[in-house]
Amino acid sequence: MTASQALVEVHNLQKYFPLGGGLFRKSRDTVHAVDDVSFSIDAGETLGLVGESGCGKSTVSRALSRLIRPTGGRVLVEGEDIADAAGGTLRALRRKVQIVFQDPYASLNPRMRVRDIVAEPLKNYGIGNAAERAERVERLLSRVGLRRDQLDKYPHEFSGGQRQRIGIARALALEPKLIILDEPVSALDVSVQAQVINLLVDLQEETGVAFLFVAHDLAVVEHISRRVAVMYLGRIVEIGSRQDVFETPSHPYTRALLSSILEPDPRRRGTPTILSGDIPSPIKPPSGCHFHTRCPVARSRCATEAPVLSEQGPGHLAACHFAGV
Amino acid sequence: MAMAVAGAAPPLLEVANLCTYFHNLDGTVRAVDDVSYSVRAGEMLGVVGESGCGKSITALSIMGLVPRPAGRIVSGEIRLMGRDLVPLGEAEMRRIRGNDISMIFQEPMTALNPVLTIGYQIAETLVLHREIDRRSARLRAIEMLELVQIPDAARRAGQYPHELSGGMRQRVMIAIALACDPKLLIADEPTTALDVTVQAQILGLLRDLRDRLGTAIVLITHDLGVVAQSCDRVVVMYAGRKIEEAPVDELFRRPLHPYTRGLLASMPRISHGSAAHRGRLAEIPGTVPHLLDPPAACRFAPRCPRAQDVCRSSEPALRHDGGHSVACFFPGDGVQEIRQ
Amino acid sequence: MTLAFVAPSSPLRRRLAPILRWTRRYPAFVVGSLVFSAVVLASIFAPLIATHDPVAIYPTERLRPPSDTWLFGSDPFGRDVYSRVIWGGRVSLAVGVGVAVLATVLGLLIGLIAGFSRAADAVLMRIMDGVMAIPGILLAIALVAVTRPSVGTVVVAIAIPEIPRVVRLVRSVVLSARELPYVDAARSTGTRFPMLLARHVLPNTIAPLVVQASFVCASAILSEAYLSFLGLGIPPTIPTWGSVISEGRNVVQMAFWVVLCPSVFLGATVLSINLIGDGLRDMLDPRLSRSI
Repeated sequence: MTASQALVEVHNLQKYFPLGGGLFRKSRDTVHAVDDVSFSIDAGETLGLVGESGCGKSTVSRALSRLIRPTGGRVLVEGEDIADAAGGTLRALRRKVQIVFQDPYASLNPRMRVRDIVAEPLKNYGIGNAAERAERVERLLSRVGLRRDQLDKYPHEFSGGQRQRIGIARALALEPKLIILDEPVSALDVSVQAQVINLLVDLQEETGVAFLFVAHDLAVVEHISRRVAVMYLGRIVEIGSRQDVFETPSHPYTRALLSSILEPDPRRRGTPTILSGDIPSPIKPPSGCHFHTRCPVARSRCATEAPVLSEQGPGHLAACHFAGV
Repeated sequence: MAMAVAGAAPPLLEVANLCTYFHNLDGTVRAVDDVSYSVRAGEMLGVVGESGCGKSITALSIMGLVPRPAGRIVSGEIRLMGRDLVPLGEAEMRRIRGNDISMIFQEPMTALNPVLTIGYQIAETLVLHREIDRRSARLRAIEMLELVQIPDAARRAGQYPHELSGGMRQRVMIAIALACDPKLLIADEPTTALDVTVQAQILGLLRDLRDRLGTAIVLITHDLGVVAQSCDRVVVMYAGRKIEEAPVDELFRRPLHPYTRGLLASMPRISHGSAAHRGRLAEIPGTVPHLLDPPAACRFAPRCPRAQDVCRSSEPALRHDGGHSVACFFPGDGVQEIRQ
Repeated sequence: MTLAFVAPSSPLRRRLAPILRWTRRYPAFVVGSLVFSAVVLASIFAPLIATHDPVAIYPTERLRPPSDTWLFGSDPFGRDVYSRVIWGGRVSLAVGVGVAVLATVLGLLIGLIAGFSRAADAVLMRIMDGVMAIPGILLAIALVAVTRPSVGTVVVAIAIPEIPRVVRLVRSVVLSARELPYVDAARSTGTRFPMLLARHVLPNTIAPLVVQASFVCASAILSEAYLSFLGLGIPPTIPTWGSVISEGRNVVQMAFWVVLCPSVFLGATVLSINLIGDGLRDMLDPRLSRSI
């Protein structure tokens, strides 16, 4: 981070969900979905966020967009804290952070015309008059590849890839500074994924918007991200530039993850590092380093002392007592 | 592993010119249209394609599980060790399912009965097909759990599906499928719903079982990475038809059909330090066509960069070139290859 | 084919074909609608199609079997059963529709509150559970007993036991709609709560509500018939299907038509409304994907 502020700074983000409570009973268990996560995103860059089920990456994206309220920590968007904001401040900050969802079929209101879906954000913030809004909507939708005669149709008349483009157009409507993309291509056919990925890259170049790209497909993440963060069970275990994380990973989990990638190239049949056991439950995460129960290089220290993110190189951090071993 | 060597073992399963159509009020959907492939013992065949290509319906046709009354096998043969399964009645098919051919599905949670222990569910298939007593079935169930590398098998046998993780449940599914030593295992997207680290384990397990038990495996997936890492031969399907087939090395080294080439070019790759795959991804324009009353033309023509008039007016037949077959008028580099 | 009599390429056939295809798809709905429409029309045009004044007594014509003058025969007091049934339909349908509207509106309001406020939910649902625990008819009888009987009080009394089912339905739709990604999208693009409710949540409730309303209507017509059969509810001066049946109770052995005819009307009406409800449910069922 340089002297000029990063666009988004997340400090010690925490989100716990109580389980099993009721009107009169106190809840017994807590899901530690996100546990002390910190990172930053610069203007115009793409930060990839990867991890497997239960790692908390979806919770991070929901907390960042304030669809849920963080239990702790600060989320600074251009210097202002969105985590505790309410009312007018929250509304003003929402404009800067938009989100594109995973499911192209459920992220568009089936009873609204496509034109109205994209116009809704503009109406909400009273941008322009009806004619100006209509013009803006047409421009946005044509930019993502839809024709003028398609604007009055309903979502079910479009394919998955087209619907995802509509979702992207909607996210762009308010000219946000950051777009959170929560698994934007996972539900699409492979032959369509490339179209949407190329579109996203082009849009970023044109508008200078930053992306938080949350995904489980590592090849896609490597393609589109400038920096990458790896999460495991609510914590960031490694963060750094694309090259750092993919070519010189320091954390044993990152290494195991990368070795498990199935590449479409039979000459590259690797031997993946098999991690013993299953991903532990986020209700009762292991003590110390969350990964120690499955780590191939774990020692006794790992069970008692939680490692902090430490520098492995410029801008490259890993949370491991034996990083790089 | 090269195929079609003279004198090699005869195919275990032969799907020949299979047509499975669905009739509804809007017309006929040709979900599987003249598809043929075969698998040998000890071989893993990958069937790859996107949504609507018919790969799953082909598998359901083999198992006799096509949803009725809308769907029907209209023509073709499915020969298991020479015996045609298509004309068989439900009672006969029940004897074959779980016994000679087994299938595992994408979602292990919904495929397992949540109110029965996993030991019971494995034993159930044994009792059904092998007519052994419960106690021996139970012992064999524990053996199967060990075979699929579930630690602490005896204790796990008494657990319920919700107590296991996704990867474990998929292993249980494999155990149930293999309990009666079937000759053929059909795996329909077995790893799609699993995490990356678990995917690798499950595929490793399937390869291991293929090598040890000699089971033939048909692995259905949309993921070319899965295919590249595990399969011996690959069949590529598009819009209800088979459009390419080759041994796995050959397919990735020299893809002939424009669709296969397009698919491989459009996938982001791990760079491994080189700048080779950076930059824009090659796109295949358009979307997968709907299979309702398709026109008599190459189904990929609307999206194909090389489409000519002949592609839009007639369907290309499969041409064979050694072990590599492709259904295209202009395969490979686009120069028309005239072969008989 | 039913279109055989129409020329193959005529414009009439082109317009008829989709309608006939639709009829084949939803036969129950079509039958139900036709029967129900007939009953409604008969009630509306009662003054025109009734043969006699429904309350006029002809002491010399008691218990006549069905004939040209007395289409459904005459009752123990010498009144025309047919005219009483036709006029009685007005009351029954009015009560049915009135209850359906009242229960739906109130149920929608309560269900929305319960779906959005966790605290209110706990309280409201326990109240609903309490109401549901009492058999509907008994509750209706009790409510009618404490007020002056009229069509209005009967409508309210029958509506109250129907409300909890509507509330549960609306509440469950609201709870699941709140989780939908497009509702999240609306929130993140700055949509305020009233618009969120109106545009994104409420439309999901309409289809199930309409279906539920039709079943409530059928059930209400029956409940009203029970009440007037027992002599409660609508004052006896106004003929209703229930009271006509009740009056024939004692003479059913000698003059079964007094009971049979209104019963057939009642049964047919309730059945047709149920068929309409079933048909609507099938039609409005979200077709998520054609699994091919």
